[in-house]
Amino acid sequence: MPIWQFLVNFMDLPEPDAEEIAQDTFLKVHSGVRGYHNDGRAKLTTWIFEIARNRAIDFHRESRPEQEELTDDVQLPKDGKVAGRNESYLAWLRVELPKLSSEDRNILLWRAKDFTYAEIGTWLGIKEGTARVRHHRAMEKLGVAAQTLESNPLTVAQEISKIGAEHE
Amino acid sequence: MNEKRLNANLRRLANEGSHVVDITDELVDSFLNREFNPPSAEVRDRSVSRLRIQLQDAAIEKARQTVDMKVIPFGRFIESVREKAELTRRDIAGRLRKHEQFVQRVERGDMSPIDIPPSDIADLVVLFQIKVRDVAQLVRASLEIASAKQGFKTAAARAHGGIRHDQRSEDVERAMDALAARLKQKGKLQKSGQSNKVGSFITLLEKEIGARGRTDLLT
Repeated sequence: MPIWQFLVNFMDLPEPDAEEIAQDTFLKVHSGVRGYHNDGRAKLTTWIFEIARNRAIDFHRESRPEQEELTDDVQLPKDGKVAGRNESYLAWLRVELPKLSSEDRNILLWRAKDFTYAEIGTWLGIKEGTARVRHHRAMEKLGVAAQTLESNPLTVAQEISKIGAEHE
Repeated sequence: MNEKRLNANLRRLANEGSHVVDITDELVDSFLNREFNPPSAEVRDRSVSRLRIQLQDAAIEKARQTVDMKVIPFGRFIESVREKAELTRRDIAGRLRKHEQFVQRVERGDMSPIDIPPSDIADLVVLFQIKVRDVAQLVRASLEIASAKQGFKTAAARAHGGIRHDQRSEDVERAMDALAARLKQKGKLQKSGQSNKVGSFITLLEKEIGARGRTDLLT
């Protein structure tokens, strides 16, 4: 049941929902397998995992509570970090993440998904230690971004409102 | 920067698709090499069973579209759809919680549909997703063809050394059904004269299907 484990451990689905999504995934695979062409881009297993990931994303989007309305009076940083309600933190992250290079972004996301430095190093063709250093640098870039924004609370509010409007 | 908080929120963004983690061969291989606690046998069995049901339903739905139900008896319709869906009688019996022989008798027309308990017919109708108006047509065809087959049976029995109808091969039964269906198509069969019975049968069937919440089949 690797798909079920992927949905639970990688996509953070509750176990009963993972059961359902795993079944949906296999149904989709069954009905669409003729459309899969092994053109060298991805293995069949990878294609199946992609379907599972997309179904899990749909599930998370459908079950997400209504986003809080973002206004100018959002909680601003107080303790040297972007503090306050998690929605504000998420909104801030949505702004900052695309500013990083795709490699930095991937390293952060992979680490967040519990992949090891050794695994990340192998994928990027670098040593484990180098992967660790790059991860810390990527975090530092975000930390610097946080401090820059903290020094100008108005910018934070404006950026967050802008992102809030884009997500409506 | 609080790494734990950052990671929790990155996971959330990735899960919601705001920043999609690319699924690559390497990532999948790494994932497959990990050791996780396997799901319980109960979860596994339940998943396999549900998946089997969903695949069977999808196959039936697809097959149903390809079978012409204009002059075919109810049982032969069920059989044609089942065979096109590549399901066995045992598969269908399992879904109906009946013995395999029940499915065989329905398919061969050994039991007239109106003599089968409405709850059992309703289970079949729901499983094969047949609209009630189509059931009425199939049942009428069953009755007319069964009545016509009575006339063939003496000849068929003689041709097979007098063996009973339930021991004749499936092919002989199918051939008789096909002949009767052809006669019906040409308008050479008499109406069964059991339209009242069909009407009350359909009324009972509608109640059963309504009780199963499948009002979509009643239209």
